[in-house]
Amino acid sequence: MSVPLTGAPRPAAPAIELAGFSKHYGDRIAVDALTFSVPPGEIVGLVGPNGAGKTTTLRAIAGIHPPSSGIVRVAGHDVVRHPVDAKRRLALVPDEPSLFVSLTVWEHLEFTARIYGVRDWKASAAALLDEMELGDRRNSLGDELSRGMRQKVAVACALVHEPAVLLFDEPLTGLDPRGIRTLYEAIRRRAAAGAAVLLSSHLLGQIEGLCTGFVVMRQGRLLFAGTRDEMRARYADAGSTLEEIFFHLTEGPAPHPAAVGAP
Amino acid sequence: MNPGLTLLALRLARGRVRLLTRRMRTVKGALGIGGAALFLLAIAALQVWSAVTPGVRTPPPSPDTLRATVPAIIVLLTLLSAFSERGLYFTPPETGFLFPAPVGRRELLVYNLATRLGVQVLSALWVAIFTLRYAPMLVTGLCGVILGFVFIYVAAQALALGATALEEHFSPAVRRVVRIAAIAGLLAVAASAAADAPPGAPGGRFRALLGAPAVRAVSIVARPIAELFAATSLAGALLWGAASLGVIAVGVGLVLGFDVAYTERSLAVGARVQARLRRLRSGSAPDADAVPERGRRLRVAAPRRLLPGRAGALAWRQLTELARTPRAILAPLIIGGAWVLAVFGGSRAAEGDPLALQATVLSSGLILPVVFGNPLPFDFRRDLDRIAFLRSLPLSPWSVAAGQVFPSALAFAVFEMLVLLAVAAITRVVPAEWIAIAALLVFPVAWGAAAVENLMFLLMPYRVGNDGRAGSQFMGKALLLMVLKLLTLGLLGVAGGAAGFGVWLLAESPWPAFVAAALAMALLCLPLTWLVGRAFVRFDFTHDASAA
Repeated sequence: MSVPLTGAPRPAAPAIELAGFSKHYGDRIAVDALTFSVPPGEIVGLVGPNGAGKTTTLRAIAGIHPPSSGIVRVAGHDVVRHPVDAKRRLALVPDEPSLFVSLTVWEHLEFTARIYGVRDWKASAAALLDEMELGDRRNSLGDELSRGMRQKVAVACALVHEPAVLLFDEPLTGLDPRGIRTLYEAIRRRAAAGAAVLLSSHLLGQIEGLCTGFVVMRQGRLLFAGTRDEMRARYADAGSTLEEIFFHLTEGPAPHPAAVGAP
Repeated sequence: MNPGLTLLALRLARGRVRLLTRRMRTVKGALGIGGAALFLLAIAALQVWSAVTPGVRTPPPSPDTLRATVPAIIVLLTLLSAFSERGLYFTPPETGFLFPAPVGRRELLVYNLATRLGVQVLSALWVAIFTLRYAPMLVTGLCGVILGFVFIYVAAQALALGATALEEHFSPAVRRVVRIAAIAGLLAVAASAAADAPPGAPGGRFRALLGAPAVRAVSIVARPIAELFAATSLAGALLWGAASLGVIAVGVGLVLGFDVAYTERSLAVGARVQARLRRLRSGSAPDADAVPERGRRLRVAAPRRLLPGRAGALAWRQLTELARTPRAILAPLIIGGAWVLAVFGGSRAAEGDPLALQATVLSSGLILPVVFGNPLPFDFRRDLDRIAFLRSLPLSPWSVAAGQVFPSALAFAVFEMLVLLAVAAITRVVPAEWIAIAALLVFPVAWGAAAVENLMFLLMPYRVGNDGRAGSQFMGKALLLMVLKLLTLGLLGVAGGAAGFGVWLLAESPWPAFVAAALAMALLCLPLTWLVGRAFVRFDFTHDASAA
């Protein structure tokens, strides 16, 4: 597995590719010249302290935030020049799952399938509800569900069109241990089937075992991008766990732009 | 359009009906919705009756007046809508599901315009009940009102997107200069029109402003809608109706044509609207919870001994937060000031009945703010998410209620006095003694109003959904609250009047009588505050926490 930096050899055509991606809001720089890629079949954790630019990056990949500069590609499609083609191949589960209060769970799946042009969606939607342990809630309205259940519905809707790229923004918030395990299994299954997964989280201990690679950011800048093994090898002195390496990387003076991409 | 968007629009329409019927199944919901419907029907019936009864009917304004005022009002509402939101509003579920979806830019914009059309038509139907009496022909008048509302939404979106498109080409400094110049220009037009207006009855300057040449020039774009509303022949109505549709079509074309990254702006707008809905749910003041820019927060604090005992700490906290939130204070002052100037600017006793004007002035200060609601509700309504914390404090319910209601009442009383003083200063018809008497009575009035508002809130907290859905339930409660406040005012008036009359009989002097009236009114507020404390104890915050 690899999460190559620019210039590194690529084992497969990347499903997600960012090259010099920057995002500015007026004078404020949210993300600065971010470059990394995620090949199909990998699960990559996007980690960093608050304000690192994780959500902005995920939204940019999803085509919501247009880049100020740089290139963002999904399954080979530029999200700025060919947004519909790119979006057809991705799914984003936002940090705050918000459902339509007047629609049932089943109707959420129905219109999502229709939007993505999925034919014969009913069987796969029913299977997804079973997978997410929501089989008995298909007729519940959006405001009749707990936060964890809403999260699961959002995940089910994200999976209904079998995307090549899955983006999760803080997916573990609000889930109980069983829900977390269910989500992990769902993610692993999709990755095994060839989907590229990029997920942001602050729960380092939780995602350490799930992710095969990591992207570490701080104040909009890249500190590290690579596989789990590469990270452990490079920062062996800092510790053996993701948490120890995270603190080693993210504490201390802010990264200098010259150091970006070359940790 | 993407078939998924069409399906979503249809499912959402069906879902709204489903939610309404679901609420109707509970006694509370049925009473709320039924009561609101009856109240609205009664208002509508009253309007229809007053419009068709010869003795009651007021003469309609001339077509020229309509041609001057209607476009100006439409353009004013459009500008307010465009520059208050500055972008298309999508609900959180829409942003979550539709922004990352493979839906074209135009498709999403068409979906937005189409799904908001229903709300515009419903709003237009409600406004038509009050305005159709001024239209020469009913059907064309109704069409004019509906198209007016559609125009406001479409034109506001076009303006907001156009501004966003322009902003992308200019630096923040240039944008700031343009914004200041635009505001200065608007103020100059308003000041010029107000200065030119002859003194007369209340509202004279407002009418003069609407008729100013600059305002007429700007509002020419909405002229076809005004002509449709004022049409006196079918041919004219058809002609102006077609022109109105043409203007709206141009607006839609502009919305679809501006090549701007509206999703980003929409997310910001959505976040602002959601923050406002949260404040509405908790009844707090506009921007009371807004995070100010770093370093801008004032460090002033309220006096610590405003109330005795530990309730004083609660009162201090609320008043200090109020003092450190200048935007929460400035917004009602600016709106109140604009209202006072618009209604009373140019009014003098010499041109009208002095007594009537005096009564209008006093009611404007003491009664109208109560009816419209406390603009500075720094009380339980701001603390919906802190009820559990308040319940955990080692204070009696009475102390908590007093500590929470007192700051709100005090702020409201000061606001009422400012309105009264402003109106009195402009009209110069109210003797100083009357102002002094009002100053005596204003705090008990504000206290009673704040107590009733908090009581209602704790008994039936407002619930506003993430999609902005407050609906009939919210409207019904707002109307009920208005009625209850008026009843409380009446009760306070009776108690104060009785005490004052009694003292006047004994002392044969007006000042002791007014002091006694104020004291009696304040005494009556004590049991009201006690009731607030009881409602606080009974408040089921676990149930409410799931709302919205």
